[in-house]
Amino acid sequence: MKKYILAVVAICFFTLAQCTIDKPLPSGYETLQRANKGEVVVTEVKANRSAAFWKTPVAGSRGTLLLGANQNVQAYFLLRFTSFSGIDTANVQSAVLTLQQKFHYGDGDSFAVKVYPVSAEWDESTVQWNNIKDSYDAGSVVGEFSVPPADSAVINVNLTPALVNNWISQGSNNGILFVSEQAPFMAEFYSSESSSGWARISIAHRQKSGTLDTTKVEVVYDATLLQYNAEIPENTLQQDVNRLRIGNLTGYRSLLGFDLSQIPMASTIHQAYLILHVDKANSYTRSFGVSFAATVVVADSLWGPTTLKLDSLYTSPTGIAVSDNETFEFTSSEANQLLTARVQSWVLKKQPNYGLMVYSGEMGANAAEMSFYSGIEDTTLAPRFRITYSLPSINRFQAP
Amino acid sequence: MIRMINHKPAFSFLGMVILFSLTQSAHADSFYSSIGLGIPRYYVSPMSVGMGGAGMGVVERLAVNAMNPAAINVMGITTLSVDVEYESIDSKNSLAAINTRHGNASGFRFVVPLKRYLNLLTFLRPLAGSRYTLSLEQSTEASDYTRIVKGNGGLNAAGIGLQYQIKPWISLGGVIDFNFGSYSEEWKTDFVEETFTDASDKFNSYFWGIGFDLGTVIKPQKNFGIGMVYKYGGQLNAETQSTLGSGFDLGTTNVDISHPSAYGLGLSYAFPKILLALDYYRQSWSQYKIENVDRDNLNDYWRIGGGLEFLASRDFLTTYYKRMSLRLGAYYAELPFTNSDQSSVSEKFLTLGIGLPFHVNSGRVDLSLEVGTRGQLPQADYRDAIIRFSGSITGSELWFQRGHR
Repeated sequence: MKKYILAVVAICFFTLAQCTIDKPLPSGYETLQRANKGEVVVTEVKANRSAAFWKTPVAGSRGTLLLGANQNVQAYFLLRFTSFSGIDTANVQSAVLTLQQKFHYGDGDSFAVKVYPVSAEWDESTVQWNNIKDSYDAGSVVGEFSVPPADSAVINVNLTPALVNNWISQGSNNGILFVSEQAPFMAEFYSSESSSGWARISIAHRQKSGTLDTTKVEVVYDATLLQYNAEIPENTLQQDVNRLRIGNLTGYRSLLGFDLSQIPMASTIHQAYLILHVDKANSYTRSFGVSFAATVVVADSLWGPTTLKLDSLYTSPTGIAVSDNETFEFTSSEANQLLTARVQSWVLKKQPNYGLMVYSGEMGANAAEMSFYSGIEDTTLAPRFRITYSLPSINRFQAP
Repeated sequence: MIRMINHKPAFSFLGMVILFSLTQSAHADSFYSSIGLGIPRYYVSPMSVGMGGAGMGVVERLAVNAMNPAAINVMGITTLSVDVEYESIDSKNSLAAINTRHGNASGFRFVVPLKRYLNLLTFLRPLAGSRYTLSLEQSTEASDYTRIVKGNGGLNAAGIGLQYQIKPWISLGGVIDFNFGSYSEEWKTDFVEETFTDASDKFNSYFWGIGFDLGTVIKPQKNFGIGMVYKYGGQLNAETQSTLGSGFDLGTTNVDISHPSAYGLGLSYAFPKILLALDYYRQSWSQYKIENVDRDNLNDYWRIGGGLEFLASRDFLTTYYKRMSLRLGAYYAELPFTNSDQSSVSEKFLTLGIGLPFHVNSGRVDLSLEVGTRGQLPQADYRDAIIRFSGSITGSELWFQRGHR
C-alpha cells in the first residue's frame, strides 16, 4: 500500500502545487498567429443633443445659510429653536441671536435685514420660498440688523422677549424668517449642519425661584430659501442653447445626449472620459470649486423637466468643477469607472441611452455657477466622451 | 474458475486523481503550443521515455505500453502505472529570454488480465498540450496598457481495449479512444492609469470525439520485435463558450475539427543485458482542419527516436543494483508548426532513465530526464531549451486466481 500512498502524494503535489512559474514570452503577442487579436481603440463622441433647465433648489440640508442677492437670486433663511427645557417659565428679559457670517458674494454696502415670525409649518428637507412667502406678516418685525460685506463677522440680533416667551410657553413656533430688501450682495452663514458656528440665542430670563439666569439655545432647524427671478420660467426645457449651466443658486442643470452607435456592441469599454469646456467668463466658483455630478437619465428621451427620471440604482460619479479651469473632467478613478460602466450598459443596449444630466451636488449651498460651451457655436468646444474600448479577439478554434 | 482475491481501492483513487489533474497540461510555456491543438504529445511507456521515447516494439511486463496496445504482457497480474512530469523551459528569441516551469500528472494505464492471453486495457494519456502567456505593452495618449493572452489546456484520450496474444510470435491490440479536453484562453487588457477599467475576454473550448488505435507486435525471433500502430484520430466536436469583459453574449459556437490520424513502426532487439529500440512515428497534422478548412497551415508531425536499456540481471534474487535498469536515448522530431519565415520547427532531445524495482520486481519506479531544444535561432521565432523530468510508478497485484478444471 505504501507505494500507492507515495504515488498519490506525488500526484497531489504536482497537481495542487504545480510548481508553476508563468511569465510572458518575449514579443510573443506580436508573433501570435491569429487573424484577429482584437485591438484597443480610442474615439471621441461629441454630444449630439443638449439642453438646460432650472428648478429651485431645496437647501435645508446644506452646511450654510444664504441671505441677500446675487445673480438675480434672492436668498432668505429660516431658523427654528425648540430646545427650551432648561428654562422653567416664560419670563424672558432679553434674547440675543448670534449669527456667524463666513463669506460674501458680490460687492456693495451693508444691507438691512428684518426678522419675522413664521405662521406656517415647514420641513427643512422640502421647504422652498414659495411655501413661506405668504406665511409671515410684514408688519410683525421681531428683530432687525445689518449684514456687512465681510468674509467673517459675528452678528448679534435683539429678538423681542415676547417672541421667545411664546416659544417657551409652547405657543406657536414655526421659527423666524430673515428677509433682506435691496441687498447688493449675498452673505453666507454657518448652518446647523456645520461643524461649528451655528446660530444660537442667548436668553436672559428670571426663573420661577426669582433667580436671574442666562441660557444659550442652539438652532435645531434651519434652511435657505432661494427665489430666482429668471425670464425663463422654472422647469422649462431650453434645447440647443449656446451654454450649458449648472448652478447652486439658480438650480440650473443640463442634459447631454450621445450617439454611441459607432461603437460595436461587443466592445469592452475601458474608459468613458467626459470632457466639458468651461465658459470662464460666465462661471464663478471659489478656489475649491463646485461639486459636479452626472447621473444617467432613465426616463425619458423627451427630457421633460417634470417627468424626467434619474437612475437611482447606481452611485453617480462626482467631481469638482473650477471656474478658472479650461475644462472639466472627472479625475478620480471611482468616478471614471462609474461613468464607464454606464456607457458600457448603453453600448450593450442593456439600458436605453437617454443621456446624462449634469448638475451641482451642493445646490443651495453657495453662489457657485458653472457655464459650459454646448458646441452649437463652436463644435470643437462641444461636450464629448473620449472613449477607450477594446474589441474581442477571434477565438482560437473559430471557423475561418 | 476465476476467483477475485484482492482489490485495492487505491487503484481507483489514483485514477480519479489523474483524471482530474489531466484537465491541465503538464508542460511549461511554449509559444508553439498556441498553434493548432498545441504541441503533440508522444508517449509510449515509462521505460521508453529514457530511451528516446522508443518502445513500440518492446514487450516488457512493467512497461505498460500506451502507444501500441499489442505490446502489453502483464503475465496475468493486474497492473497500474501512473505518470507525472515536470518541465522547465528557457524560451529565447532575439530580444530576451525567460524561464517558465510547470508540472502535473500526465496519465495512467491499467491492465486487467481476463484470460491467459487476453488483457483488458484502460488508460488516460495526453494527446496534445498547450500553455503560454504572451504580452504586448502599448499606449494611448492617456495611459500605457498591456495586452496579455494566456492559454492553457490540452487534449487527452481515455481508452479501453483488448490485447490478445494469438501466438507467441504475434499479438494484436485494439483500443477505442474517447478523446476529450479543454482549452482556455484569456485576453486581458490592463491599464496603468487607475481611471481606466481593466477587463478580460475569456474563451473556454471543450472537445470530445471518438478514435481508435490498432497495434500489433510480431516477433520473428524471440529477441527481435516489430511493433506497428495505426491511430485513427476521427472528428472532434469543439464547443466554445465566451465570456467577454463587456458582458456581451457571443453565444456558444460549435465546430468540427479533424483530428489527425497517425501511424508508427518500432523495432526492438534484446541482447542478454542490453535492449535496443528504435521508433518512427508520423501524424498527419497537415489534415488538421476546422470545419473542413485548413486554418493553421500545419505540417505533418514526424519523429524518430532510439535508445538502449542496460539491465544486468532479471533475477529478482540478485543484488538490487543489478536489478536496476539504466537507459539512454535520443530523438528528433519535426513539429507541425512553422515559424514566421515558414521554416519548420524541430525538437532534438537526449534522454536518460533509470528503473528502480521494488517488491521483488512486482513494481518499478521509472525516472527519466530529457534535455533538448525546440526551434533553432535565428530562423525560428523561439528557441526553447527544455529540461523535462518524468516519473512513473508501476505496481502489480494478483487480483484473480485461476482454478484448474
